[in-house]
Amino acid sequence: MRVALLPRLKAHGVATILEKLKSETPSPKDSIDQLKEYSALKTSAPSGGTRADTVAIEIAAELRRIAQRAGFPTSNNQAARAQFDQDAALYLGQLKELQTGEALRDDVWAFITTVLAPDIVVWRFTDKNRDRTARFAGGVRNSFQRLWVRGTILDRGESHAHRWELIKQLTEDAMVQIFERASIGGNPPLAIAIAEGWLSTAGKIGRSPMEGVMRSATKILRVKNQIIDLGYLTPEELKELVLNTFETATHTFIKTVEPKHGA
Amino acid sequence: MSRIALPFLTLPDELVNFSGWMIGPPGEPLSPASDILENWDYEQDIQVNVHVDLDFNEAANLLGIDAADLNLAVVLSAGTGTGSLPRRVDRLATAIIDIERQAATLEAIIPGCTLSGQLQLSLRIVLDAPVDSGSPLSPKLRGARLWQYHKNILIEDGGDSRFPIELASFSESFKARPEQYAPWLVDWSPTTLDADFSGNVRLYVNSDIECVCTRFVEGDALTLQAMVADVMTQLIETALDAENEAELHRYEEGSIGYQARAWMEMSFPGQNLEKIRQMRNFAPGKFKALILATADFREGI
Repeated sequence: MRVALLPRLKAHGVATILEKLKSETPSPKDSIDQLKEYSALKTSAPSGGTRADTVAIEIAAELRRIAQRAGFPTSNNQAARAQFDQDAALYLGQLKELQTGEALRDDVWAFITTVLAPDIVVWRFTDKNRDRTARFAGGVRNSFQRLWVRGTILDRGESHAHRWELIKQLTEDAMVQIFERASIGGNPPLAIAIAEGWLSTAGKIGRSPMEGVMRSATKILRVKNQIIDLGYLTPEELKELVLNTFETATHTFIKTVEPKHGA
Repeated sequence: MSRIALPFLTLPDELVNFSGWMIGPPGEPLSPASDILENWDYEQDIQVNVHVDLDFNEAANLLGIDAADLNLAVVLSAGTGTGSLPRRVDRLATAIIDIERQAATLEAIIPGCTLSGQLQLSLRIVLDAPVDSGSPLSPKLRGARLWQYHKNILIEDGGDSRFPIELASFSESFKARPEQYAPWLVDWSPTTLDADFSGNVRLYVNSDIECVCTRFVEGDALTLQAMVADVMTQLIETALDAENEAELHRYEEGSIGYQARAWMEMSFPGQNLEKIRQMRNFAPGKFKALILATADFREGI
């Protein structure tokens, strides 16, 4: 397979464009125009595949269609944003062109986000706090890169009857706990085991205490991973260890919270 | 070894005889890994080979476990993606060592298309068996980390130092257009000298012309020289239209304008803009020959 060499945008390019966006609202310009306008900031790998600017353009176009189906640009509520996240994760996670080292590059996502689809980002993340740059720049908080990682890792496989259940059921907080911790998010077997553990535990105790339980469980598992190579365990061993950890975290959480209820 | 103090007995570095990281293209002699793997791109798979052996009886003694019961696993894994922690880690190979087999050689081929930015190799020795045995301080759990060693290798995907070049079928890319019969074509725009060189200049080599394709793939020096000289000539001729020297000096490193000026200085050392312009206008043969001569990089471009 030849690698699709996607356009890249370095950090100074992101900063330049975001500065410009302060004074103008991003509009869904024709992507060819966008490419032309920012050609001076665009880079790409010089060799090792086929230059594929058009792939990036098509990805942005499909993300815009997904956003439109969720309500973009007129409807913007939590349900619309969650729908976009789910559908976009499924789309990005299955794209063949993104099953290469290119998709691990922050500057590739920075280009798609900042040059080709800034209007979707502004719709998806309305807050203008310090996290705003992170939604455009590449990294675990990039608007689309975070969804690609979810779609890639949390895929139970084509033959599974409920292939995408983890993506559909896990809350945003649970996703953040998994994918913004490099020691977990970068370890596919561990990441999917924790996601399964979250789903199983939420089924037993309900979703409301899961935020506290998940935080506690991921802390314990990160420490355990320092001592035991969790990647060495069989899937069954890992599943059991993760479920036991969630159980411990649940008991700890309930013990901590119960006195307040009783007061 | 780990930066954290593990709550059980482990293996000291002195006990583990690790031969080092051997890497290279599959099927070719491997060499010790350095901090940077140059001349790599997605089309280059990487073969990794490691060998480890230890005094097993001494290891069992240090861990407080009977040597006859002890099984250790040697695990080779690879992480990739930029950052202090890799974006993705995969296990490449595992081997068990015990009283009968006190050494292990692990080997794997990592597909180049899956790599990105850096390659972080990890070799670990972990407890495989027995579980919950030995002294109070012995490791008790399967997977307990007993010894580990890492190596970070920056893998260069061309970056700024490799020439942007690509094989392409011109009969597909330029169907029904006269350029489909050209041996190569430089794709760039003279109006964007501020633009990044590697992202905005690309030399396409026509894969439909077999002899050109073969010469290119085999790295025929004269063919590459002619191709690169063509790129240099096009850029230099455009740069000569600059108003003055100052305009040429304002282009940032990595830009097309910067590269054009660098090639101009290499091809016409010590000559000012006006002199080079005169040579182009009045001695075009010499002008092009000087660029052609400069394009003889031999060691690779």
